[in-house]
Amino acid sequence: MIALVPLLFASDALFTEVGETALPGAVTTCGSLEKDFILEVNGGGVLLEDFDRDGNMDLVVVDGSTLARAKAGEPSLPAHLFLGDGKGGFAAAGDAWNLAGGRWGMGGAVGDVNGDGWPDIFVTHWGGDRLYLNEAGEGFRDATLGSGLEGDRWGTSAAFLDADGDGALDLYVVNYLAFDPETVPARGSGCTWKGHEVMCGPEGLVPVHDQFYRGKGDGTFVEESLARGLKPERAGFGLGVVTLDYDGDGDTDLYVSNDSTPNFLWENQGDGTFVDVGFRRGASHDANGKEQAGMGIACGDLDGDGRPDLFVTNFSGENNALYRSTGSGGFRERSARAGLGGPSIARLGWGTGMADFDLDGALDLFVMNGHVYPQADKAGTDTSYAQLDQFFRGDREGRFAEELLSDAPATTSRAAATADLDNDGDLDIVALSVEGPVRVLLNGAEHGPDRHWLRVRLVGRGGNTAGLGARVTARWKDGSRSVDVRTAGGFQASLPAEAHFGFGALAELEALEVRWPSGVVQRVEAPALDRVLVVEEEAR
Amino acid sequence: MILAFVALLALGAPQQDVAPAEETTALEEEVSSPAVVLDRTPQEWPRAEAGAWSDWTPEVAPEGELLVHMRTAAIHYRRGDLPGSLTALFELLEAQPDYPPALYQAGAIYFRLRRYGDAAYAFERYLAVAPQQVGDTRALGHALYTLGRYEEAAEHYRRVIEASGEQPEALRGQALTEWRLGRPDEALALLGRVLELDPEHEEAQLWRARILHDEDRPEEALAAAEAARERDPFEPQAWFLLSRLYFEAGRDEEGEAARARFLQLDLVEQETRVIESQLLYAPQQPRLRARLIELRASTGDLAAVREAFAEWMQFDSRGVAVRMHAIDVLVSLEDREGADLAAASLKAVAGDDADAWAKLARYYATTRQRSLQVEAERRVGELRGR
Repeated sequence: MIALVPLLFASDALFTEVGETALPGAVTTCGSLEKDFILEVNGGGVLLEDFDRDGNMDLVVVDGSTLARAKAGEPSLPAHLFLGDGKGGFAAAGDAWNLAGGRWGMGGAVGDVNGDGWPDIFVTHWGGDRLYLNEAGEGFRDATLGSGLEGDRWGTSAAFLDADGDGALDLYVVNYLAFDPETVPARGSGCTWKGHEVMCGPEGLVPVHDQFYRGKGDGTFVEESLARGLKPERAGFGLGVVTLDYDGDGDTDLYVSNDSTPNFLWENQGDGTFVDVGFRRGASHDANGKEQAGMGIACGDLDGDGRPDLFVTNFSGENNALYRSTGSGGFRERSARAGLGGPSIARLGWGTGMADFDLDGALDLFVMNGHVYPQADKAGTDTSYAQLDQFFRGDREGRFAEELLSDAPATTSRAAATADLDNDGDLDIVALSVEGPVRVLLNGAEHGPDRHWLRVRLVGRGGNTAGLGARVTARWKDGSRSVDVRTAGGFQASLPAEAHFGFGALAELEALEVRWPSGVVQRVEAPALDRVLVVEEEAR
Repeated sequence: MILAFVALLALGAPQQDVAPAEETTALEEEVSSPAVVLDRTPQEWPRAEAGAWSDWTPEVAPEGELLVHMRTAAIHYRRGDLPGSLTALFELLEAQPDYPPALYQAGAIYFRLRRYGDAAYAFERYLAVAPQQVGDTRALGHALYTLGRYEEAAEHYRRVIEASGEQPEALRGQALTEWRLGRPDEALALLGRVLELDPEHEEAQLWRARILHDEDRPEEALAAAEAARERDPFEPQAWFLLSRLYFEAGRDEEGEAARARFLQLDLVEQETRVIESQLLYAPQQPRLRARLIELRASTGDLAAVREAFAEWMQFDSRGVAVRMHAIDVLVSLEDREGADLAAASLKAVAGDDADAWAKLARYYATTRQRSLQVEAERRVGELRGR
C-alpha cells in the first residue's frame, strides 16, 4: 500500500491518474482485442463502498472473461475486493473476501440486502448473476444459491431500492440482449459501420427485458417484474440505471438508459408498481424524437429547484443528453445550451457522474470515453477507438465548460464510480478501460475557506440501513440543494450510499433536512461543514 | 448532365458540363468499383503548386482526362455508387491535384457518406483553391455543424450568406447553429426569414416549432408543429413534438394519438436509417432496396416510395424486376400516375423478356389502356412462339 503525496497534483487537469501506484497490477479482461463480438465491448464493473466500515472507501472490481474460456465452460475471471487506506491507495483484501467467477462479469450494485448494517454486493453477468453477503466486515459469502437471483440473462447495471417502502431492499437488474456466440454473427459477417466491417449489434439482435426482484429482507428475493408493471411495450438494450425521486412524491423511481432504443423512466405509483412515463415526461428520446444509444447515467439537481436532472452518455455522432427537469414534472433535453452537446459528438461516452467535484458550489460532470469498435481508427469515422476523458466544469447558471479530466493519454474507458478515496472531502474516481489496468483518479480540487463541503451518510431504521432513496436537502439563507441517496449510477457501477455536497464559499447552513423512505422528515440544524456527517433515522 | 448530377447531390455544386447522358452507356455496364477507397482519406491527396488553379472558374468546362474522370464520377454517383464515384475523384485528384470541381464533388460525396470530417476537409481544400466560390459551400457549414463545431459552422454560414445572398438552406443551417450556441432569438429570426423565402420549407417550420417549445412558448410551438405536420405528415419528428405539446397542454387523447403515429413512423424510420446507411456504402443490394420500399409503403408515404424506386432504377437502369415490382407496389398504393410511369419505364427495357411484356399486358388490361394492352399481348405471343 502506497500513500499518495500532493506532489502528484502537478498538472492543470483537476484529476491525476495514480492507478499504477494506488492499485498496482490490477487489470481486467474483456474478450479479444479484436472485438469480434458485442459481448467483448462492455468491460467490467466498479463497486465502491466501505465494506469493512473502517471509514475508508473500498473497491470491488468486476472482471470479465474471454470467449475461449466461456466456450470451454470455465468460469470468468473473479471479481476482487481491494481495501482502501483512506489516502487514495488500495491493497488486495484477504482470502475471506474472495469472490467467485461467474460466466462473464459485467457490473453490479451494492446494498444491505439482509438488513444487518453491512453492505452486500450483487454482481451482474452474461449468464447467472451473483449475490455475496457481507459477513460483518470479515469477508464475503456467496449467497447466490437459493437467493432467487440466479438469472441467466445478460445483466449490465443494477440498482437496489426500496420500491414498496417495506424496509427491505428490492433489486432492478438491467439486461442487454440475447447473446449466444453460436448464433450471433461475428465481425466479418457483413455488419458494417461507416463502410468498415465491425462486430454485429445491438441492432439486429434481440433486446431482453429487465427484471425486478422483491427483496424479502433476509437476502432472498422473488422476481415480480410483471406484477410490478415493469414490462414495457418493447424491451430495450439496457445498459445503465439510476434511482431517483423525479416527481418529488417520496417514493423511488427508476431511470434506465437503453442502447439504440428509448430510455425508460419508471414512475413508482407509490405502492412499488411502476409505469413507464419516459416518453410522456420527455426523457426517452432526444429533443428531435430520436432514440439514442444510451450508456451511462448521471443524476443531480443542477439548479437547486429540488428536482433531479439527468445526463446520459451516448454513441459517437450523437450528443450526450442533458435532460433538465421542468416545472411541469417533465424533462427537456437541453444539452446544447448547457455546452454539453458539441463536445460529445466525436466521443462515445460510458461512465459518468454529476457532483461538485471542485467544491465551488456548482455541480460538474465527468464522462469516460472510448469507442466500441477498434475500427474507429480507420478512415472517415470522425472518431477514434481510444479517446480522452472529459471533465465539464459547471457554473451556477447550469452551463458547462469542457476540460480534460486528467493528463492521462487517450484510452478506451468504460465503467467509473466516484467516492472520496482519500478522505479529503472531494470526490475521486475509479475507472476501467475495456481491458487493462484499473485506473484511480485522485481529485486535486483546491481546499480552503472558499471550498466547503459535506458528506452525509445515513443510518436507517429497519432493513434499509443505508437509507437508499432518502432525499437529503441542504438549506441555506437563499438557496438549497437536494441529493437523493443512491448506489446506482453511471454504467456498470455502484456508488457509496451517501450524499455529497460542495458549497464553495458558503460556510454555514441553516439546516440539513433528511426525508427518509419511511416518510420521516428529520432536520439537523446548522450542521458543521467539511466533515462526514452521519444521520441516524429518528423513530416516527 | 452536370445539372442532373447536381440535383442528385442536393447540395449545390459549381455548374459545369461534364458528360452527356447518352455517353454513359458503356460505364453503366461495369460493376461497381471496389470500396478500397473507403479505407483511404482525403489527406492523401497531393497538393497543387500555389496558384495552379487561379484561373479556374465554374464556367471553364473540363477537357481531356479531366472530363473522363469527372464523367466517370458522375455516372457512378447517378447509379448510387458513391464509393465508385469517389474512386474516380481520387484518381483525378492524384493526376490533377486540387482540381476544384473534383474537390467539391468529393466533399459532397463524403457528406452523403456521413464522413463529415472528410467532407469538411474536402470543402476546405476547395475553398483554398477557389475562395471566390464560398457561396457554393453551405455544405461545409452543414458538415461542421454535424461534427459539433458550432462556432466554426456559424462563421461559415455567415460567409456563405454574405457571398451569395439569402439561401434558405444556409439560413436554416445558421439558425440551427445559433440555437446550438444558445441564441434562440437569433435562430427564430433566421427561421422566420427562411419561411418568408420559402413558405413550404418543412424543416424550417419543424425547427421553429422545436425551438419555440424549448423556449416555453407552447401555443406558438403547437401552431408551428401542426404546420410542419401538414407539410410532411410522414415526418416522425413532427408527430413526436406534437405529442409532447399535447401532453404538456393536458390534451392526453390527442397526445396519445400523436404518440401512436410517431411510434409507427419512427419504427419505420429506424430501420430505414439502417438500410440507407448500408446502401450508401454498398448500393448493389436489391433485397435491401425492396425492403426499403416495403417500409415506405407501410406508412403510405407515396412520395418516398416513388423516390426509392427512382433511386433503385437509377442504379439498376435496365432492371426488369425492379420495374415489375414498382408497378405492383404503386398499384397497391393506388398511385395510377406512378404506376403508369413505372409501366412506361418497364416497356422501355422489356426487350425480349416475355414475363415483362405479360406483366405490362395485365397492367394495361387492368387500367383499360387497350392499344397498349394489345401491343403487349402481341409481344408476349411473339416471344412465346404463339
